[in-house]
Amino acid sequence: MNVLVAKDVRVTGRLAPVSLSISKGDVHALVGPNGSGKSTFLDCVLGLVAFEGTLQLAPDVRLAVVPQRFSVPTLTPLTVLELLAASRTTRPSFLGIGAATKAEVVTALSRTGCESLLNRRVSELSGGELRRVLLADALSTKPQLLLLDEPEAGLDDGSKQHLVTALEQAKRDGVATLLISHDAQAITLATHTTRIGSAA
Amino acid sequence: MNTLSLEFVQRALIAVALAAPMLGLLSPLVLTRRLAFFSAALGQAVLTGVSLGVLLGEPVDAPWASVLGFSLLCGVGLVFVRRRSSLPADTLVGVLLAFTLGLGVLLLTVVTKRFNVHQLEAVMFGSVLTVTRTDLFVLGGALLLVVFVLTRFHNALLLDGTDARLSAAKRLPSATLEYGLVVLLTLVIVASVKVLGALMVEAMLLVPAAAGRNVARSVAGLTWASVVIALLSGVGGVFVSASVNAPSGAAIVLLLALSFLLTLPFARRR
Repeated sequence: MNVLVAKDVRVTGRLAPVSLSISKGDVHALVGPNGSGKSTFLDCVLGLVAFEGTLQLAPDVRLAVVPQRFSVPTLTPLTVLELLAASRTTRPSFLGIGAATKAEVVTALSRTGCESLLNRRVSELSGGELRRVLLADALSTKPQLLLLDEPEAGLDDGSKQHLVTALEQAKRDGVATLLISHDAQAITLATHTTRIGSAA
Repeated sequence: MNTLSLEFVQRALIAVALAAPMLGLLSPLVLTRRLAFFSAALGQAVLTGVSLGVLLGEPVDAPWASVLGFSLLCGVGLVFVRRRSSLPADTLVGVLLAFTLGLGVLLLTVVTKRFNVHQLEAVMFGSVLTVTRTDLFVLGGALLLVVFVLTRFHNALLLDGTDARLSAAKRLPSATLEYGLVVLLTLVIVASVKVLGALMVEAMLLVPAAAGRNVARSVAGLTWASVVIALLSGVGGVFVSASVNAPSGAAIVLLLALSFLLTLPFARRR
């Protein structure tokens, strides 16, 4: 079953036409030079950028994303626990995070081996730590479509191995994955590859 | 005579005890969603709304229909334009600020030909003398509304204000949340004008969280620190105001600024 079908999706000056389809269990690599619009395509899928062409998502598909650039909250002391709890409960963090929600967050973080970061401020995490936290969050929501934008950036060798293991597990679980990557090891996991050219 | 035994001081203290937690609870969201400059523009719009209301024949000490209408128009209008424009939000807020300031000064010039400008001082700078029982009911209602909204949507507002891609993937209704928060901010600003003043209310939406951030280690800590700082500054400001016969808004803002300075040495760089 197709989870995502894109036909001639383009954004003038930012993204050359892209056509692809992703089914359950696929790992679809989107490759191309810097500035070719790979992240813009991801924004089109998320509905954040207006585009021409057609893009169809399976009805009520559960999405998860690990963005290349995450807007780190430097103005507020948001903790990893509060960030992950916010999408798991409507109870405001200032009223305290319940034991069940906290346990759920710890389990989620254990997917990429970053439980120790639970009480750290998001703004204090290194790029690699943040990526592992976001990947753990994304995987734990049992997504049907996982959008990964250069998830290997900033990761050390050990963390890259966590990423590859997590991707392999997601593939076995039938998660459809759109992978934007420059990492040879990550791309070897891809079942399909689409190359996009310059947007100009 | 004991200041506390004065009925108007008691009413002002109740008003502040209702307004401060309300604004203190919202303050961290204003910080997270980078709405500080926007709150300043809304405060400015309130002042313009006052002049407009007086010109349209509303009572000079209570032109609330025009204040609410004009402020809502500015707030909602700005979000509408921002969501459709490629210009940075602060540029658009700057344009709105310039527009409301220009219009406000122009209207004020016309208004002061018909009324003494001192009659507008209570609305501009806040006055403990003019708080009525109706004002207390309005503030109480606004506080209940804020508590209701935050207990249901605080986490969604927090996530949506943190990262657009994360928010989109989690299918949060970003537009509804943004419009809803702006309407809520406008309502609480208008409800608080009587005590804090149109020119001072924005400070109560920004400084409590800014000072709280200096000492807090989490959003939960920040929220409670913000509420406590708003409450202490508010109550202290009313006493100062009643004691030296100064505008309550100015006294409260000075105490807020003091709280920021006192907490500054505890601030961490990141």
